[in-house]
Amino acid sequence: MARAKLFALKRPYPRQSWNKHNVYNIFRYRLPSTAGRTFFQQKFKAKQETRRFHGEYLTERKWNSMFRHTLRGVVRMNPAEMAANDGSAAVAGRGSGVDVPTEVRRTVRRLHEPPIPFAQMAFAPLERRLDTAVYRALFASSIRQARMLCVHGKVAVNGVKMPHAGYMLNPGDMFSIDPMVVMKAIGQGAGSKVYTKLSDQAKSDLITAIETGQKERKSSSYLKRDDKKVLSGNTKAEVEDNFVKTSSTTSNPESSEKKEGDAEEAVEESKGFKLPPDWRSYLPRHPRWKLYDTWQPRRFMNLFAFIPRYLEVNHNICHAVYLRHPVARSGSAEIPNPFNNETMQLAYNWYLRRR
Amino acid sequence: MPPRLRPSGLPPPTNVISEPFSSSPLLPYLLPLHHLYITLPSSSSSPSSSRQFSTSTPTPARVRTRFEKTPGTRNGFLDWLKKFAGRLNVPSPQNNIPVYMQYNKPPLPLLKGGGRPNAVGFVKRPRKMEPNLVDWEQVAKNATMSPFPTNPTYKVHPALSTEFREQIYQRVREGRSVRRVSAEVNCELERVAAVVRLKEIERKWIETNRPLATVLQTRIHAMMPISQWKPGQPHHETITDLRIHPATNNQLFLSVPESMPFNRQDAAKALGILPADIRMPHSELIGVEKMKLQRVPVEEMIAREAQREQDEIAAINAKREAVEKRRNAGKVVETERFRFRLRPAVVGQVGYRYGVPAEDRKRGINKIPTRVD
Repeated sequence: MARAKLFALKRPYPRQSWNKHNVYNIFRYRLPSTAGRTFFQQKFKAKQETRRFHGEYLTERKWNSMFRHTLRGVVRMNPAEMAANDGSAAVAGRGSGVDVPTEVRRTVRRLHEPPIPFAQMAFAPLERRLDTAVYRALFASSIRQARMLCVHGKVAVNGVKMPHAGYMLNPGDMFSIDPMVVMKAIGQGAGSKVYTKLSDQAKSDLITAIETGQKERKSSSYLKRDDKKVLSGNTKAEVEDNFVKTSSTTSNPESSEKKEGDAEEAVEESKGFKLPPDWRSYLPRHPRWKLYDTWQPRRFMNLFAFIPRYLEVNHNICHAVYLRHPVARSGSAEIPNPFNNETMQLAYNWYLRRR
Repeated sequence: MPPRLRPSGLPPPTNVISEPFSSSPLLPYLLPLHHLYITLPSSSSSPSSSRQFSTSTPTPARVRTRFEKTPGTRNGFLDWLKKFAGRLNVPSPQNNIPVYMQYNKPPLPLLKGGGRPNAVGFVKRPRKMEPNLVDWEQVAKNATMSPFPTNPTYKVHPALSTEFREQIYQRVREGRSVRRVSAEVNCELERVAAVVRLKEIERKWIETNRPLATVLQTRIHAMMPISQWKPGQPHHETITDLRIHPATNNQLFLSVPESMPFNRQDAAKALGILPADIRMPHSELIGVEKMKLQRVPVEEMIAREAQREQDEIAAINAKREAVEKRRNAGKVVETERFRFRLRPAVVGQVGYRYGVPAEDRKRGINKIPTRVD
């Protein structure tokens, strides 16, 4: 998986991620215009744009092998109507029904039922992939993260560890992740805000602790030890307390502004000392279950919080079931997608050639 | 570690199903089929119902502020842009309406007194849109349902609320078939089965004192549309969605005598597929509707439905037994730990043969399993 520049702000493209830059990019994204372009150019552009969103981490060859020209759709049936007539009225006469003029019937039909957006299903085979399903079930904040969770062996399918992100789910498959992992993946990190809220005494203690830790780090067992006695009792309690407090009050915008102001001061105060990004690992381990009380969703998660109909998710236990393959129905398709029907139609046509 | 859940906190199973519903098991068949005619209005989410497992005080959930308009700040984007990407060129809003709203295909909804009605009664939209004419609440509501501003075709379908799931689970535990529960609560067959599977696991977790991620569930449900349980007429989705058969996509020319009726059965025969009356999920509803049309008395209807259900269960059991019988056909050797079922096999057709090179490390051979049982 090549590391691409995912969230470029200069030329924005929507991606499957809850990243803040992506949020902004989705908002200002404009669909590709078809004016003054040949049909081939239109198709190519549409394919480019849609592939940047759907399975951008897959090579074109891989996606080509997954593409299917069959598009799944469903029609809503009315049992009362089916019981009342056997369908022969619709084809009576010369094959197009009697009594009702065709135009009237067409108009009535159009008013009542919007067409099925089949083109939206062009990338439906990707939805079967395990990593995509994990992202759709809101167990990860981006498809790449979901893929990482799979590859790291955090995801189980029907209770069996499935380290292949490309596993194609079958209808009825149940996939699951440890809720702790999910909470970490889609939650807010505490960041270095903990540090800025500490008292001077605690700060200096912490600095000493980290420095000793960095010295002792060469002994490989040091970081694994749970009883790292690097902090005196008060400081330890303060750190623990602040850790809990900050992660539960981050939703307040005013306090967060203040904190950021403090952060700058704090950095100025402790000249020369830079808080290492892995500073938590120098402290005694934080009791994991505290996450259950203090969990906060990731920023901008609300914009992406929806679960498609082909999944049934239970977040209490972080298990989900892939019910069936996604389908399109009158007026809507089940695949989350920022591109309109025209663009999708062009992209579908691109992949349809030579087939 | 404090236990996060008390099984006693769960509602007792007797109280879950409302009395009138459990009195007549066939009531859903006799009710007007509301799932066909009523489109579900988006339910106002009340967080209280999804909090029945939680013992902590509710934290105020972050509301959708996507379309909340803050004049001058462009919905707060400028604020964080200053922090994170100070030099960016943001397209300037026109008429103080956020920019991304302008290429929304459907026009912005107006407030009641927004436009002037003309002589015919149609409301004429003002040529120049002003922010105080726009019904921003409606805009936010629309945004909840279609999250991508550039694709109005994608609509979010609400998820099942916790109470809804509990109701489904209790009904199935009472011994009703998945099919009947699905028709009762207007929820797809597969979904009902999945909900029961997930609930079983949840129950096991509670029994083994494994903490549930109730915070996660509550906070996520507060962010998205939820179909709440309505005791009288529960509804989640349409249950009679017929999958479009690929054979019906192609045109088929068939000469049919004009004097003869040509119905669904004939069409299915011509296409070489099963008729829609059989392929449709919940095809038994057609039978119920037919009985209604024939004005069959209610007792008779109930009796017939019960009989049909019994026959169905009997058929399923017979099939299962046949499979079991076939599976146990060979010799069975019981040891302390295992029950070996020996079946006759032909060497070379089954199993791994020594000396034959394995292909699993070859290039182009797929190593990802296709199914997990």
